[in-house]
Amino acid sequence: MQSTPVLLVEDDAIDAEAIARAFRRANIEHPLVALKDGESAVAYLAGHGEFGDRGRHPLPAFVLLDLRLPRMSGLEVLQWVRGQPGLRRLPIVVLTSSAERRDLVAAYEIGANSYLCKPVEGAALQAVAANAGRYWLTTNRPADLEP
Amino acid sequence: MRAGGRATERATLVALSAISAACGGLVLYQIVELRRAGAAVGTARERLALLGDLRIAYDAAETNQRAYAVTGAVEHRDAQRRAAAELRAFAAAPGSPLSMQQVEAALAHFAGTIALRDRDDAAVAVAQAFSPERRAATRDVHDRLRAANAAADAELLRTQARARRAERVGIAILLLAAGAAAASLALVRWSRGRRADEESDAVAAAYRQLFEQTDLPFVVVDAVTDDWVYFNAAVGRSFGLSTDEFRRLKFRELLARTSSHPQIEALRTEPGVAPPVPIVIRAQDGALRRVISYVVSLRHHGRMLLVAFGQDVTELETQGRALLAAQADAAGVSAELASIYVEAPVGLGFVDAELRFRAVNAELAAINGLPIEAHLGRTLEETLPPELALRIVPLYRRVLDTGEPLRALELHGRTRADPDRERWWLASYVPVEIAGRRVGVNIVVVEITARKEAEARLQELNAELERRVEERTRALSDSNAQLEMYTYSMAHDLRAPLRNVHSLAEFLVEDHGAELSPGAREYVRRIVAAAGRMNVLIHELLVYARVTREALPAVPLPLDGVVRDAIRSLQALCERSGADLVVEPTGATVLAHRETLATAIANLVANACTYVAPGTVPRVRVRGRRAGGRVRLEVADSGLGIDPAQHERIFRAFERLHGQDHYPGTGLGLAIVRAGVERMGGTVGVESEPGTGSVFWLDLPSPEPE
Repeated sequence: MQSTPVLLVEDDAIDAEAIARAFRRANIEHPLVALKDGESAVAYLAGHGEFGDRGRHPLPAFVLLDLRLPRMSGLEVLQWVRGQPGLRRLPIVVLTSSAERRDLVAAYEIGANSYLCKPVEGAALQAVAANAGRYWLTTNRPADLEP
Repeated sequence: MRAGGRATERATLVALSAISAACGGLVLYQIVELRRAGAAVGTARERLALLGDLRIAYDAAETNQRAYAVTGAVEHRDAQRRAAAELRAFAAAPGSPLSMQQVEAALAHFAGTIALRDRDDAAVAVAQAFSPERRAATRDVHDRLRAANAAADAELLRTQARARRAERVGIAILLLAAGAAAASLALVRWSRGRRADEESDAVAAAYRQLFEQTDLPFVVVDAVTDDWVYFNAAVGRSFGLSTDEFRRLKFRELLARTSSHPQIEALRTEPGVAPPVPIVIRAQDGALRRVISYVVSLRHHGRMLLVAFGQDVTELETQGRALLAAQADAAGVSAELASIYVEAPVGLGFVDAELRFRAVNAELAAINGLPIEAHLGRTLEETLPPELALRIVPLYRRVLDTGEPLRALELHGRTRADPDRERWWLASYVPVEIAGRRVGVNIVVVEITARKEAEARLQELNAELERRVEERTRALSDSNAQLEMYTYSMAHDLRAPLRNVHSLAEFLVEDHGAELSPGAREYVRRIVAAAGRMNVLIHELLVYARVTREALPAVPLPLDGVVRDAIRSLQALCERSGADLVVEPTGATVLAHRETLATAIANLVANACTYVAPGTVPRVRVRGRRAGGRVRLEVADSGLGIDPAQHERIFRAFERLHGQDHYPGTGLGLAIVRAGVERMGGTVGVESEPGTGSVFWLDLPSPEPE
């Protein structure tokens, strides 16, 4: 069986590449599935449409979720996830450029497991992403998703 | 008795005529003469009695009129009316010395006085009752009566002498004429004498009773010897003496206790009547009493008698004076009240228990829109429009039923005064009770239509203002929200490309580092540095936007803790600059928004660590003190110092004193400090001279009492 992926929902291609580089440099073996908008993220997690095959598109170990996304915002995705019985315990890590208090509060209120701010400096962003990957994949112990 | 007496006389006359036939015409003449004399005596007596009656009735009519004028006591008025009727009757009798015309004139005058007093014109009534003209008229009446009295007196004496003479002659003849006849005559004389004595006894008893019972002091005294013939109990009381004490007093000694009476000595020698004279008597205890004295002298059985009586008017006068003064005051007050009632710019009225108007003033009449006369005697239903009466009448009934007044009741409606306009009044209905019976309701109505309309206008205006404020607030909060959204988006959207610049520079070095020349590497470094400055600028813009716009709720905070937080956030900078930083604990508590205050302090400390001459170690002191209910925090440095001309400028946004190359900065740091501190009710300032370092200070409100 293929190793559980990490789902990255990020519309900024350069940020997505920086995070991917960080994972590679940190020797994280879990594949990074990068989606560019909220609707695709929901489709993937629900196993709809092109993501219908769970064998090819397995549920991720955790989600790195940006908030400012086209079509469906990160908070909406988060809210939807927390409403799904099979996804309620899925760790979701918000990774965003917003340090606004109301985003922080809203994210935790809805059920984010972690909230990370993207640093502006490229090296710092890679460090944050690598740390998050290591922590949520190795340090953290998740619960089963199914009831 | 009387009829029997006459029959006897007739029988005697028959007998006498039989005898006179024998005694001749002389005897007959004497007998006729005797009869005439007897009749004349009776006439004279009657005339004297009439004169006395007239005098008494006249004086009673006048005195009671005066007493009523002064006191207003109805018993005087009643007595006056009775006296007037008697005076008329006596004056109409034959032989009255007073003409009916004269009596009617006097009575008309008295009636006029009484009518004045009935209308409460006491002062005028008294003036009229005691007017000089009236005194003169009374004097004239008294003079006439006195003259008539003297004449009647003389007539009586003359007729009595004549009768006695006739009697004596007749008796002599009769004694001579016939023994039998003499017996008859004796019978006649006896019977007449007994009748006269009986009458005189009855009159004397009546007078005695009258004088014993009355309060009028009354004395009869022998004008020659000054011995008391009679005195009543009242006279002793007037002088403050017991009856025995009074008895021991001589009349002359009594006179020494009174003011002089001008005619008393004349009266001692000649019979006469003195007009009433006011005199003052001194009682035993020294009290002075005012008495109207009446003195008469008469000859009686050869004795000269002085008859004196008086009317004590001390109390009457005192009461009268007090009454007059009180009445004058009351008249003044009631005139004032009447004028207030009429003129008051307040509706005033009174309705009786049947809710009929008994009084209404001009203002209330105007409010109701009817003339005053149209109210009087009419009910509320008849004077008010039905719609208003329907609501108001039950209120009146309630006041009458419960006896509880209704005060300052707000009423509204329309009246005949202006049927198209809704008007407002403040009404009070107060029950009026007389002797425990509710007789009506006093009405006080104040028109408040103008006030009500003004209130309504004001309310409308208020509502309109509130609506506009709400609109404005909504528009403002809309634009605020938009602005916030804008700042938020800007921060996010500006940061993403900045981060991309950083990332791409990173990728370049990672993937192609080996191919880059040192010059190319230097450019990459400068690209990254520029992006870093822009990031700081964006951060500070966001902070500035927040402290100028967002609510910064102030809570009590320990200042030392906030300072510690601020310095911890600057750890990297402090280490880099190697600053000598000393923080003195203040122990103070301030009212502030924690994050904003920490930012302000951090900015000041960061500046202090930054703006120093190259190569020197920054020395920074953070200290505080309480002053005047506020807390001052100072950040003192050993830095470059600032020209006082620049002190104001440095707190403005985007103002910088130094080039970017020497001292990096956005020009927002102090603007954030000022905006934040001022939003929290504090003030900021700086004391500095170039080259001497600077002291930046914050003054913050303190929750602690001074």
